[in-house]
Amino acid sequence: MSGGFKIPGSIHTPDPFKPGDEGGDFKEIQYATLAMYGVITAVFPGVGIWSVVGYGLTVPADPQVMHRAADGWSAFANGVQAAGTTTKQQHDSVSLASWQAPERELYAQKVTSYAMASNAASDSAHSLSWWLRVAANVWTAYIYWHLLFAARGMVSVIKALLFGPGGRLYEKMRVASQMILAEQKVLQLKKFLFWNALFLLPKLGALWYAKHSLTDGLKNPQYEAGGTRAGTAEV
Amino acid sequence: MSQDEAARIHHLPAIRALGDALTDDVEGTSPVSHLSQASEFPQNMRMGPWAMGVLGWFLAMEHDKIVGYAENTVANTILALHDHRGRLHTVADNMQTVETRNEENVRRL
Repeated sequence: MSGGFKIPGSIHTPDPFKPGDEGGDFKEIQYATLAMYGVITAVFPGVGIWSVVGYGLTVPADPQVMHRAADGWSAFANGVQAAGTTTKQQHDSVSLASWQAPERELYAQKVTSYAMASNAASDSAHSLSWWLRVAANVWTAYIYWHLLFAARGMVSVIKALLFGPGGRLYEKMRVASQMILAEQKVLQLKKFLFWNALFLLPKLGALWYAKHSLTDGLKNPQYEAGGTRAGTAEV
Repeated sequence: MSQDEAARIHHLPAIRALGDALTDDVEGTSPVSHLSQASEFPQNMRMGPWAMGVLGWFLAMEHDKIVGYAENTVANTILALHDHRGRLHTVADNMQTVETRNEENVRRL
């Protein structure tokens, strides 16, 4: 596996290249967090069902899978670059004296353009890998942060169970839950929709970037259906 | 044909070897092996639609599409390199034919 920056999940993270690795290092944490949010919301309705739904929507996310994809991309980038470099070296290693013909010129041009295309593909794969690592680490931080947040609320629920009601957080949540009205519920739904729509914007930006700039080197549109070299195999 | 013959110095084995080196691992790892190794993505390289959260489904699906693009490109390139090896051999063969013919002409003269 290739080295990349990574916030650790569990201690026994399987090697991404091992067969049968389905990911899911963080699933226990994610389900536990969701359960705690559920309990807190059941006790204090003021917290809002929509924060539970919102977190629930993120539970399928798996940073481990993203890290594995990033590993795959960086290995891919290295391999493609090595192929291009090797071709160029092999071409350069044949001395000019041993082959002088117009074909040589043509071949040299092809080798050069192939090496350039390899570098472009490699760069695309490297940056894709980097962005996947960023995304995976942001997700990991998100998961840990919500775990802490849910645990904090859970502690006041348990404290209330054991020692009776009390505490600053308990008071806050109790007051919020007492005056929960229909209007406030609508307001909570509005807030939920607003924030999710807002978070969709950077994701759409990432989609646009991935489609139009990030993966140019990987797509090689010449070979696609309708491209200038569709159905052919030219370097 | 005979007037530009002087400019042509051919070392046919070198040209053939150059072609072979593209596809066979004679002198170290060949470009084709590098590529086929590179296209062996880890298991589940396609992350599935929900791996970036339910609301990130379009990003995960785009990623899986890009995996497909990359696989296609590498497969095409491997084909192209094999093609190239064939073409280099053809070039070498053509030169040999021409030289044999020239030698025959010289002998006849």
